[in-house]
Amino acid sequence: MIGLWHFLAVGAVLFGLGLTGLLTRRNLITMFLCAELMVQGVALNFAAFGRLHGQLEGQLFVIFLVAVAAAEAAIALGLFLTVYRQARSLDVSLWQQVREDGVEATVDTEPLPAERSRPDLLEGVQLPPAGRRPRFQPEEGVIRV
Amino acid sequence: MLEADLIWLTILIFLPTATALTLLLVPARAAEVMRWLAVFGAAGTLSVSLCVVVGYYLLLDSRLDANGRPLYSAWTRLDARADQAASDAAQPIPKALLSDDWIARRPWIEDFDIYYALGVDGIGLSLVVLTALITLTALMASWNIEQGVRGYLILVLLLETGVIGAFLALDFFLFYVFYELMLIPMFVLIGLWGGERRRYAAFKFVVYTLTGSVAILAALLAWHTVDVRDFVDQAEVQQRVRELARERHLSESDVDNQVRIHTFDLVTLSKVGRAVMLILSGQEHRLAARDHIAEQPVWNQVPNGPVKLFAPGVDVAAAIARLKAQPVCTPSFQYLVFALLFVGFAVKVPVVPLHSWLPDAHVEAPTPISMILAGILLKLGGYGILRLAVPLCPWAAAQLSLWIGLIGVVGIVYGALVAMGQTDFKKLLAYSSVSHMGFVILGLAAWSSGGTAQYWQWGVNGAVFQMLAHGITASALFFVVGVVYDRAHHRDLRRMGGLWEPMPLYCGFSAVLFFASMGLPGLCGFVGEFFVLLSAWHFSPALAVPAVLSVILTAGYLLWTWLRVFTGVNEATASFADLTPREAATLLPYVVLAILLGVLPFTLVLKWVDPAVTGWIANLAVLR
Amino acid sequence: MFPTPAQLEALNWSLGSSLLQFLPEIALCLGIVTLLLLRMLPKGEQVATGILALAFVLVAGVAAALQVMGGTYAGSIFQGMLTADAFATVFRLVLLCGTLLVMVLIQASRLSEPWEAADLQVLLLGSTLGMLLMVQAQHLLMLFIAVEMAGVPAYALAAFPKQRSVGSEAALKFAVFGAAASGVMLYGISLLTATFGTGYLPNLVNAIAQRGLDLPVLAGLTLLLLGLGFKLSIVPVHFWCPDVFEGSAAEIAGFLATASKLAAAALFLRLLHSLQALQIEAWNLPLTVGLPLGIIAALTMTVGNLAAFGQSNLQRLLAYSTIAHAGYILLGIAVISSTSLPAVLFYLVAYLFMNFGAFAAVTWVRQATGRVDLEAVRGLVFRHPAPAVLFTVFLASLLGLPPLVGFAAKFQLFQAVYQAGQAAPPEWPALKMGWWTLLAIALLNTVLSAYYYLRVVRRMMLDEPPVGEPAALAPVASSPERLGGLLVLLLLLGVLVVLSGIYWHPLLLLSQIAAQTFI
Repeated sequence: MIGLWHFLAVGAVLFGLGLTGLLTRRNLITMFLCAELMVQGVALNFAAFGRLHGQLEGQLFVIFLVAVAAAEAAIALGLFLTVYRQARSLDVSLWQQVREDGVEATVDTEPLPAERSRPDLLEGVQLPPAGRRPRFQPEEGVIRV
Repeated sequence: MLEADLIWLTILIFLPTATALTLLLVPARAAEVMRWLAVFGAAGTLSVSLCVVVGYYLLLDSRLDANGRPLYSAWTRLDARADQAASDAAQPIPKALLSDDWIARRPWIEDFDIYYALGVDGIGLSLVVLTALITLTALMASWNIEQGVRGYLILVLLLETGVIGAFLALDFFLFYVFYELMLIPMFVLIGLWGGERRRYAAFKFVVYTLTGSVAILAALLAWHTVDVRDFVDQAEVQQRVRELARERHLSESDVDNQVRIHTFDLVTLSKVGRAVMLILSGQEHRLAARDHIAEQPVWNQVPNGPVKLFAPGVDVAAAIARLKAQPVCTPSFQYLVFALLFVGFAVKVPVVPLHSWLPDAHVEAPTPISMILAGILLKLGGYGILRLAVPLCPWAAAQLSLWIGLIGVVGIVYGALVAMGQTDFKKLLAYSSVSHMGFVILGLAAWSSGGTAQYWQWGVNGAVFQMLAHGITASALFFVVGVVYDRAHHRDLRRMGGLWEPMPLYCGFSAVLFFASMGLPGLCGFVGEFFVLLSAWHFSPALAVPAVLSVILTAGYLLWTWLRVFTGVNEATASFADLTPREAATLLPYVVLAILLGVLPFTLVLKWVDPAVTGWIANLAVLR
Repeated sequence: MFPTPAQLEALNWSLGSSLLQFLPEIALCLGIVTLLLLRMLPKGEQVATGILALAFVLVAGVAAALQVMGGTYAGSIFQGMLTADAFATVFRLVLLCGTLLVMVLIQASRLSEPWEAADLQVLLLGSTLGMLLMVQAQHLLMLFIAVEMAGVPAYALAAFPKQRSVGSEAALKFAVFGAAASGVMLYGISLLTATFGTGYLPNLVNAIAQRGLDLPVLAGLTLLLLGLGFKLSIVPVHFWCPDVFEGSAAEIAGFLATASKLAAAALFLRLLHSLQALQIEAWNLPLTVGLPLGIIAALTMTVGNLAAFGQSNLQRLLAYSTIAHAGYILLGIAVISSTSLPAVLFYLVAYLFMNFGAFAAVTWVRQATGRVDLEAVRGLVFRHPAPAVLFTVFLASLLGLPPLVGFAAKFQLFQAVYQAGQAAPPEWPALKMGWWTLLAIALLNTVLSAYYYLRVVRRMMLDEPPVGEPAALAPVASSPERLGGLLVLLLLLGVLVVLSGIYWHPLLLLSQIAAQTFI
């Protein structure tokens, strides 16, 4: 019989996995996915409890949660894009410019696996400010995104 | 309608601030205008303070005491006047405020029972006059400050506001605000216009002082939670009861027990302290309610007679029970709060283990700031102990009086010994300040009671006089150093000498001041030390002997210094110019005062200080 | 299943009255929509968006002020999702004042390039809207949405202006940590709503009171407060604060350090005081919740103060000072008594003025010198006395020197803590000693904090300006009139800090109005 505790356990495991991943991974997108995973674990909790109490509040929570998570993701991904354009990498350890005085930047003790070189997809793309039409440069011929 | 004394005292406190604000309007290039403006502001403050002296003297003179003597009437004592003023204001139909009682009391922040309460008595007023005088002369001595004149003058004037306000405040909170007001100006004054290691000295000054202030703040918080409903006018209690009953829709008898009255009023709080002392020393049967608002004191009455502390109309038994139920009536509270207050003010005095900021601050501060520091700020420490620490926690003060006296003596001897070893002129004077301020502590500590309370009174009189005398001699001597520093550009005693030949006037003035500082009879330093030693001898010969012997040390290092600076022949100093008229004008008041206070101590100072001290002693000496 | 006409009628009527209470938020929403759509219009890009946004905030602020002055409060609105009690209404006003100040500061310093100004304003308005909802939330769902609404735009704000890479880094850290913190808070919310089957705060609080503090409740409360504590930057979730404050522009850091903290503190207060208002005999709230919070508060202030010692970046230093102040605020919150509530409220408002003043002063420094490190202000008083003096005033107020507003706030707060110790029942000696020990720690922290505040003052006032540096203004600084506007704002804040330190009445009144909700 699958009862409340099973749902709670799965929710807690998802939450824990997310938290662990957030703390251990270095790729920004993975980190953020982990944060989302935490939220999804909670969503499972809400759904299970809504069912338990026989009311819609739990489901309501889940819907809002998904919506808010989407908003958060939009902002975060936008940020990651900006960041990627500056550093050409999603490695979070590259971002140590802001830190305590007198503390050295942490350096990897073993080198990262070499990244496969790939064509830079974002070359020349400028994000337009919200609400304005992007300016096309006809001489480039192609618009790549 | 504002009463006259409120206006006078407010002008006295805020005239320097107003001058400082006016300085902001002067165009930047007109440094000379600014200097004159500041001097005029300070001179105005001095004149106002002298007017207040006259007013206070008239007040003292207006009534005779029980023995038919003028000046000593119990009605003119600070606490009697303050009680009367508070009671008048608390009546359902407030009585007209008196214009000539030199108590000004206005609510400031009513939710926290904070009053803009100012009061004048001989102790505070004498120090106010000293402050005004020293600030004026310090501004006159500041003519060679070239950099940032405007900021400098503004800060000095703000400092003066803070000090005068602290000397006049009757409200603990108000006192604290004024007391703290000095911190940042002094920090900047030392740190910006000082000598080589000025930043270090400024930081040290702030850290020490702020630690002390935080201790005082803790005591402030503790005292504000004390319920004083049996000590304030009962009309106020009735009023609160009515309000509370209306608020909670209960009958007045139901809420009667729930009314708490808190206050920062120093006069009321010291009554609580005295009552607690009686309870803690097992004399609670002596506690009684007053018959009138301002009561003739029990001075010279039967020993162990009643002590009338509660307000008229209070049920004494209930009041004692209420008081005993409060934490204020425990030895630990009394010890802790006294320790907090004493340490807080001892930093300023400074008392010996806490003194190490003083030599640094003095050495690095520019001459006028050293004058203010030695002449005024140190007095705040002594004044704080006199006005707050001892009256608020008399029981702890009495219990610890021997230790306090010991601290004073250690300061006297230690300061004198260390001063002997100095080669820096300013540092020597700084340590001599430590030594001289030790006498203040010793004089305040000399608890005695009953028929021999006279000795303690001498001690306190001596302490107050010593504060004034030290204010005069120390500021003057720092100016003396400043004069020679302007010419020689160093303060090394080993490289001085022979100044008497090129600078005879300077030499003569300095001689008077050196001898006054040394405590030569006939000059101002003698009176205070003599009174203090007299009472210390009666209090504890073991403390008095080293203090007396240290007078020899004092004479030793001061005379030696004088010899090293003025006598002999010295090529390096032969071309020095004598005092300029401005310098002479700065130094002259000090010289005159040093002599006059030595010759006519009673007429000039004690005549209006002693009645205040008498009241102070009358309150405390009956308790033991 | 379907509502009857009578129910619909009632719903309609209550919606109408709720919307009336909701005027400030509606004004902000209108502002957001207008600013976003403006660019679609021909010539819409030439409109001064800053002024427009300012106008909307002003309208919202006036509406909130009118509600405070009206003196009648609607209570629950929108079927209990929000509450428009005195507490919320006053906080709304204060938060809108904070936003107004930020917007004026941004106008004065021209933080954003013209083409991105509207984005900045929209994000600010959105974040403010979230904060307004935070202080009114009466349902855990609303609470969550409000916190996210305040937080998500703030992540993006930290990245302004876009060209700076430190800004991106700050935003990055803020966003990732923020997402994690909101996850943690959500977990707490899920546990609480799950246990009691409701997210409606009054019901929840009643249910907690009946059930007592058992494991799910304790875990839920802890996680919820931890998530909120992230916003308030208390130890152990304070680590984002220095990096974000250092990386983002001073104006934005000022916004995050004041308004955002205020809203989080308001939520803390609402939760704890709703619990306290029930007067639950069984579990002594000050002992079980208050004292542990107080210990965290003591840790927070000590960590903040000690870490600030060695900082050389002004914004980072102020970030640590902000953490220390979060500690003082949390100490006041932890006391949970009828005297501590107005004291904390006073502190929060005072803190808004003085801390924002400090950040505004840093903005001035950045505009004038192009740097925000300690060396940038070396000898400032010799070149520009007025900003240096005003900066000193703000720092002295943060330190808590009379007669500035910071002292008034600290005095009341410490007074409340002392009284809590004194009023502690004799059967709980640990409580009495606990409060007094915490008070002693707080007092000592005040002394500690003097060191780094005065270090800045020393750099400005006591150290000579660097030799050879041109007296003229350096790179970023543009025309002098830009600095003039900033200076006027600084002066205004400085006057406010001094005056409300001498005349406490207006702020006292405000905090008492707000406090009456729970007392």
